[in-house]
Parts: sequence; structure tokens; C-alpha cells
Amino acid sequence: MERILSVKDLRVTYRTPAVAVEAVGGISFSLAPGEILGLAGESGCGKTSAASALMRILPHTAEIGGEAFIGGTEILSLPEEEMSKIRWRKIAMVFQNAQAALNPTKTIGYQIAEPLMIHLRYPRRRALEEAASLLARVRIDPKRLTDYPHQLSGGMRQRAVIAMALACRPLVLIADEPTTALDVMVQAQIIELLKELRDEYGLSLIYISHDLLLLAEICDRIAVMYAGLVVEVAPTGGLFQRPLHPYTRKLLGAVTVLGVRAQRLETIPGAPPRLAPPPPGCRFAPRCDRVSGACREGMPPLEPVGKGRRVACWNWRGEDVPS
Amino acid sequence: MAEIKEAFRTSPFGKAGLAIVGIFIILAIVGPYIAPYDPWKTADEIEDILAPPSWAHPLGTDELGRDILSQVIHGTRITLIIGLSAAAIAVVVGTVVGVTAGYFGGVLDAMLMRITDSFLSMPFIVLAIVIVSLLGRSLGNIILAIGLVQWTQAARITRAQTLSIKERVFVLRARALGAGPFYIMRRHILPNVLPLVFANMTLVTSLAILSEAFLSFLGLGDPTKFSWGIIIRYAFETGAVSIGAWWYFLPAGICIMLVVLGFSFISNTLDEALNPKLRRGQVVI
Amino acid sequence: MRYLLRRLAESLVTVVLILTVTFFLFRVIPGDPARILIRGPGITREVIEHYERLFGLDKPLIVQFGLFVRETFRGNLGISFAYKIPVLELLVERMGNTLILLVPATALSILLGLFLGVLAAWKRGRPLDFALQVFSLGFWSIPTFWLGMILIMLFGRTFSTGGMITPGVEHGSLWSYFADLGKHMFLPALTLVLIMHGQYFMIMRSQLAEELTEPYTRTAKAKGLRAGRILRAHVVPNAMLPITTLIALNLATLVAGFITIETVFSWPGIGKLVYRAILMRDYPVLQGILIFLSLSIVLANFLADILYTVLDPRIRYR
Ligand SMILES: Nc1ncnc2c1ncn2[C@@H]1O[C@H](COP(=O)(O)OP(=O)(O)O)[C@@H](O)[C@H]1O
Ligand code: SF4
Ligand SMILES: [Mg+2]
Repeated sequence: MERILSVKDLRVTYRTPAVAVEAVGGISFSLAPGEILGLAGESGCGKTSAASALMRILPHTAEIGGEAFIGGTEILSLPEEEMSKIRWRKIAMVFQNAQAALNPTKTIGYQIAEPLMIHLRYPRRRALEEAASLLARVRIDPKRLTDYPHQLSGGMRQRAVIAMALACRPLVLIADEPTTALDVMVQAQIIELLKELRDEYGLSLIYISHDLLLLAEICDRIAVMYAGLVVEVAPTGGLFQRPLHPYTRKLLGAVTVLGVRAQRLETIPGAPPRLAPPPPGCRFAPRCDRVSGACREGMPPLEPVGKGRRVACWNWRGEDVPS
Repeated sequence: MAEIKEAFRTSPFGKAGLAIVGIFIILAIVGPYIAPYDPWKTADEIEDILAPPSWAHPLGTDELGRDILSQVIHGTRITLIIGLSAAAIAVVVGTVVGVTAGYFGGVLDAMLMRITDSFLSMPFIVLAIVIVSLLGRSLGNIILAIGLVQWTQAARITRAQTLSIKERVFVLRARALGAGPFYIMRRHILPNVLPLVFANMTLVTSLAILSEAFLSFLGLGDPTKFSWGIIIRYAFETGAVSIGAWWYFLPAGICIMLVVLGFSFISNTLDEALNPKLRRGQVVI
Repeated sequence: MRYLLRRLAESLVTVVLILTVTFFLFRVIPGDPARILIRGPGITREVIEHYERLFGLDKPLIVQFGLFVRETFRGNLGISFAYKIPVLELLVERMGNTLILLVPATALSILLGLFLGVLAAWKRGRPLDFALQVFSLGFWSIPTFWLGMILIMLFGRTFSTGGMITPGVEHGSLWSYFADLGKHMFLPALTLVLIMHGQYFMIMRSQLAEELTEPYTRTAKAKGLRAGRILRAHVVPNAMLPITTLIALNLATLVAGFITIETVFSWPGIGKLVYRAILMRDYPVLQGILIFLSLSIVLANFLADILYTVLDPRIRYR
């Protein structure tokens, strides 16, 4: 199958004088054209780090390893100069906190038009016209072009940020918890909007969230991360019908009952391991109810286990242990 | 506290600042015992007048044949005493003003802040010049003058900090339990503003040392003592510049620069440790 | 608008307070009280009596204060003991000379300080940042007059170092006048720039360091902007907003530098005047300079605040 993005063994390590934190410990996944891939996991499991690594917008203290191909080009080793031409044209990102992600002293219009002027050499006039039609597309009155970020509502700001990300018609769009700060109504509107845009622009989307139920609404496939690693990848339906990894099962908790939607996710006792350095063996072992001797010795690889599914667990076949 | 230790452990500037200041403090303490000559002792021989550095006088002599090295060593103590005492006065005044203004708020706050603004707008060197010219050129008056013009920063810093602390839960609870304002200030506010006050004091010390040098250079130093500023003033008056007697003013100026730099390195390191925004944030571009 | 009115009221209160501090400083402090300001050597009986009446020296202190404020606002700052002319006249004449030196020197210091500050903040924690900090803080730590003395010793033969222009020379053209002025100005201006830029360096570096950690810089990078453009178009303009007010707030700290540098280079400005006034105990001049400089700084701060509210859209469109 044709792949628009394929990531191999992506690693992110933050180095401070005292410690090295391995925030992403070698993850691989790929994205088909028009696909929406969910990236799930608790806060701090490395979702933002992984996404930022693909954009190459990590701080200098971070080290990136592995490979990532977009349309045949390996982007993790590109010189900065080349990479700046890939950003926003091939791969763009919508950030978690739109308020902070926007420059408070520049108009919305300018901020949407800016990449058009830089990448596509649009003259200012034309870039602003294009910005206006992008705003209209995300259902913001184009008159708002000359507004400053603080003059918009939270939902509008997030839609403006989406419009900004679409400016150069990227192949891949990463949305990092784009609705976390918003209320449920607005959240639903934004998700609808993203789905429409995917169809209209032929986008491929990576949608990051800690909320599996939210991901179920929008994603074709979901990759579950734990402590810097992908532990399970599955089509959305399959994952909810039959989660294989003990962590996924715990996350879904009562939701596993077919067709029934639980209101809350089960909270899992215990905390993720410290990643400086990560412990040997399976990282989930301290919190796992299927843990066995093998788990503490070797790290389980992410292996194919049937149609379109992969899981990283030594005991995924094991019977349910009621919790 | 842990952050401060960590900052000094990881910052070369912090270490350099501590080292420089430490060395000069030791010199200030033992100076008078290790100085080769009495700094006031004049020479009898004409060739010892404004003599360039030699084995007998490693930093040469002045127009009266007095040993410059001994003057500089003695000057360390005077300069540091002026710098540290003036800074102490400044932060005490500033903290009292700032905490009072922040804690009581209202009209008192507005009044104190306008007074702070007025002092901030008056060029402190001119104010200090006026105070010393009117009071007389003694060590105590110089310290007082510098202290009384440098308190504004401490006032602003402690006021801001007090404003944020007094709304915290433990203070509100203490107040609800009937604790008086002075008890709360002593128990809750002061411990929280002290690190900032201390950081500010290191910066004010370097400003005070510079101010002393400026006052001395303008002829307002204490004529009965040797400070580094006074040595440079004497050199200027004597015309050391035009006759090329570099040894007369170079060492004292280098000492001023090093000490001021040392204190400002310490102050910067403390600032980075105490400013959460600088500590946490990371630059991506 | 309401903010500006409040700032205006605050500034007026500040002015009154400055006048109060000055008034009581010169009159309450022990030494020669009340009349010290008008009874200089060599001032005629009539002049003294005129000023005694004008400033109400036989009246209670509070009345004197009222008269003092009134006279100050009329521009009457008393008479110089040393020069025997009204202080204001003296100040206006010397202020021009000071500005000729100070304005270009300050402008260059600000540019240099901001430029180096941007570089240091951008490369924060890396070798360039360390080198720039040592350079800028190092110069900041030097007493201005001392650096001036060293530069005179090293380059005094190449450049002129006494006064503003060579005395006794008739300048045939404006060009030769400016050449002469430039030759006299170079070293004092260089000294001021080397030393003053450090302060702006530190302001810019810390302001920019905070600004650079704002998430919008990451957005800008994600958009494919190059570092230079991110700094130029986003980060530096944002950091400059508070810096306009910080620069005004720090004006008072420049005074020590230019007073001593005018002394070292015999530049006939306000600083040289201060030096003479200290020597001659010319109290009216000292008082006049204190008032004049303080009020100028209050005005500058007020203007900077207005500028800030105009420039920052977060305030403009609240
Ligand atoms: N700049 C950084 N320096 C050091 N550690 C970091 C930095 N950013 C994130 N981390 C650490 O990396 C881990 C992953 O963080 P992040 O990618 O933000 O997770 P998520 O987006 O899934 O919440 C966390 O443990 C976090 O503390
Ligand atoms: S490998 Fe072992 S510890 Fe890890 S998730 Fe599977 S069963 Fe649990
Ligand atoms: Mg995140």
C-alpha cells in the first residue's frame, strides 16, 4: 500500500546536564493517504515529543533518532535549511493551546498569510485574500482577518489555527490535542470540521489525544503509546471490540462491552516509569495484571498479530484476568 | 534553595562570581596585614615619586611616593564596606517600603509607590552628590547617601512578591485565625521575599561600589581613607593620564571591574534560579 | 484613555514629590540652612533681597515650599553662585552640548546592546552567549571615567580630548567645524557606547529569553520560517514593546556615566557643570540640575507609556 508518511524507530531524548530523559523510545508507524491515525496515551507518554520530532521543532536539548519518510524524502536527517521548506508545505501542525500558539501582537490574517508569502512567494495582497477564504472555510467571518488573537473566542482561535495549518495544503497534518481546552460543543464542531477538511483536501491526519473515546469518533486507526513506546496499533473498531494489550484493556475498562459506551475511562493505579533511564523489560510491567517472568527480562517487540493489528506484549494471548 | 545550589553548580558565571567575590573578601579581611607598606608613608627620595612598577613597589608609587599596591589592598576593605553596607541599607529600606505597600494596599500602597517612582526618576548619582555635599564627605555619609538612593528596586520587587503571597491559602488561613499583620509579615511574607531581596542585594552591591567610585571621582570621597575610587581620583588630579603613569589608576579600576562583575555574576545566577519562566522555558529556534 | 489619564495624574504626583524631596533636602539638612541657596559669594545685596522676597525666606517653611513650586514652574531655579546668571539659562545652554554627545552615544548603545542581546538570547547557554555576556557585563562593570582615562592615554594623540572644538580655531566651513567636533566627540562617545550598551544588552537578553520560550515561536518555526525571520518579524518586535518602557525607566542610570565622562574629556555640558558646582559649592546649580533631569525623566517615562499603549494591540483593542 502506498504510504504518505512512514516512521521507523523514532527516538527523542532530552539531555540536561544531570539526566537524559528518553521521551520517545523508538516507535514506528505509517500513514496512508487520507487516513486519520490516532495517537493515544496518558499525558507525558511522549505524544507531543514524537509529533514535534517529525516537525523538527524540538529544543536544542533534544536529540532525535530514527527515520521518517514523507513522499520518499527522509526528513529527520535533512539539513535545517531543507527542512524549513518541508515544514507547512508537506507537514503542518495544529497545537494544543491556540491562545499560546498564536503571536499576540500580529493579526490573525497576517499569521495565516505569512507561510503563503514565505513558501509560495504570494504577494501580500493575494496571501491575505487566500487567508480570508481559508477563514471562511473554517466558518470564521473573513472580516476577522484584522483581529488580534485575544479578540477571538477560544473555539474561533482553534479554527483559525486550523486554517493557518491548511494554508499551504500540506500532505500530513498533525493535530496535537486540538480540542482539549474547549467545551464539548465546540469540541464536536472542530472534529466535524477536521473530517470535512480531510475529505476536501485529501489530508492525512495524525490526531493526538489522551482521550480514547474522542479518538474513536474520528480515527481510522489508533496507536496506543505507553512510556515512550507504541504498545498497540489497531483499526478503531477492532481496538474497541477486542483490545489486546493489557494497557489498552485497562484504558478502555468497561468500554470493551460491544456497542456500549462507558462515560468514563477507568483510571489505572500506579504511575508510568521514570524514563531516565527507562527500566529493562516491559515498561508496563509494574502496573500490569498479566505480568510474568519474561516481562521483566526482555522488552516485548511490536509484532503483527493478525489483520492490520500489532501489539507489544509477551502475554497478549493470555486469558482475561478479571480486575 | 535547591534551585539556587543547582544554578551555581551548573553555571560557570555563578562559580566565577563566587570565586572573585570570595577572593576580594579575604583580601579585605587580611589586607592591612599583608600590605607591604603603610599606604600613607611618603617617600624621601625624588626617584620614588611617581615611580613605575619595580621590585620594591610592584605597582609603582604616587606623586608623594606612596606605595600604590598598599593603597589598593587597603582600598579593598573600604570599598567592600561601602558597597555592602550601602546595599544593606538599600534593601532594608526597600523591603520595608515594598512589603508595607504590598500588604496593606490601598492609599498607603499608592503613596509609597509614588514615592518609589519619584526616587526612581531622580538620577541617583545627582541625588547622592547633593546628599554628600550637604552632609559632608565622610564614610558614613557616603554609605547613607548611596543606600538612600538605591532602595527603589528592592521596594518594587518585594511589593510584587508580597501581593502574590498574601493571597495564598496559608496566609488567608492565618488571617482568618486572627493572626496580626506583623505576625503574618514576619512568618509568611518575609521568608518568601528574602531570596529575592538577597538576589537584589548582590546587584545593588555592585551598583553601590560603582556609585562610590563615581562620587570619589567627583571629589566627594572620604579624604581620610583609600578606596579604589579615591585612588583613581588622585591619579586624575595628578595628571597621571597625560604623563602616562598607568600604574597609578589601572590596578584600582581593574579591581572595581572584577568585584562589580563578580557581584553581578552572582546576581544573574540567582535571578535565573529564582525566575521560573527562564528556568523552565526552552528555545526551539 | 482612562489608563492615560491615570498615568498623567500619577506623573503629576511624582513631580510634586520630586519637588518636595528636593526642597526639604536642601533646606532641612544641617549645615547652612534656608538661605544657603541664595547667599553665594559675590552676589549683590539687591539680588539677595529680591530672591528673599520671591522665595519668602522670612515666611514659614510651608509657604516657602509653595513659592518654590510656583517659581520652579515659572522656570525660576535661582541664580548660580559661580556664574552669577540664572540657573535655567545655564542649564539650557549646557544641555545642548550634553545632548550633542549623549543622543548619538545613547542611540548607538541601544542599537548595539539590543543587537548583541538578541544574539545572546538566541544562543542562550551556548558559547556565543557566554562570550557576549563576558564582553557586555565586563564593560558594564567598568567605571566610565576610568575607561575614558585609559582611552585618552592610548589614543589621546590621534583624537582630540579636551572640550568640544579646538579653541581659537576659526572654522571656514560647516564641514571643517563638524570634522573638528567629530574628532573631539569620538573618544567620549566611544567610552559611553562601550559602557552603556551593557545595560541594554542585559535588558534585551532577558526580555528576549522570556519571549523566545513563548509557544508562538515554536509555531513560527513549524510554519517553516527561518530563524532570522522569526526573530525579525515576531520575537524582537514583541520584546521591544516592554523594552521601550524599560529604556525610559533606566534613563536615570545613564547620568553617572555622562557626568564623569564630561569631566574627563572637559566636555562643556551638564556633567562638567555638576563637577564645577561640587567644587564651588554652587548649590542652586545642583538643585536646578536635580530638578531639571528628574522632570525630564518623568516626562520621558510618561511618553514611553503612551507609546506602549499605542503599540501593543493587546492594550489598544481591549
Ligand atoms: N523540553 C523538555 N525537556 C525535558 N524533558 C521533556 C521536555 N519536554 C517533554 N519532556 C518530558 O518528555 C516526556 C514526554 O512529554 P510529552 O511529549 O510532552 O508528552 P505528551 O505530549 O504525551 O503529554 C515527559 O516525561 C516530559 O516530562
Ligand atoms: S509484556 Fe508482560 S508486563 Fe508487559 S504488558 Fe505484556 S504482560 Fe504486561
Ligand atoms: Mg502533549
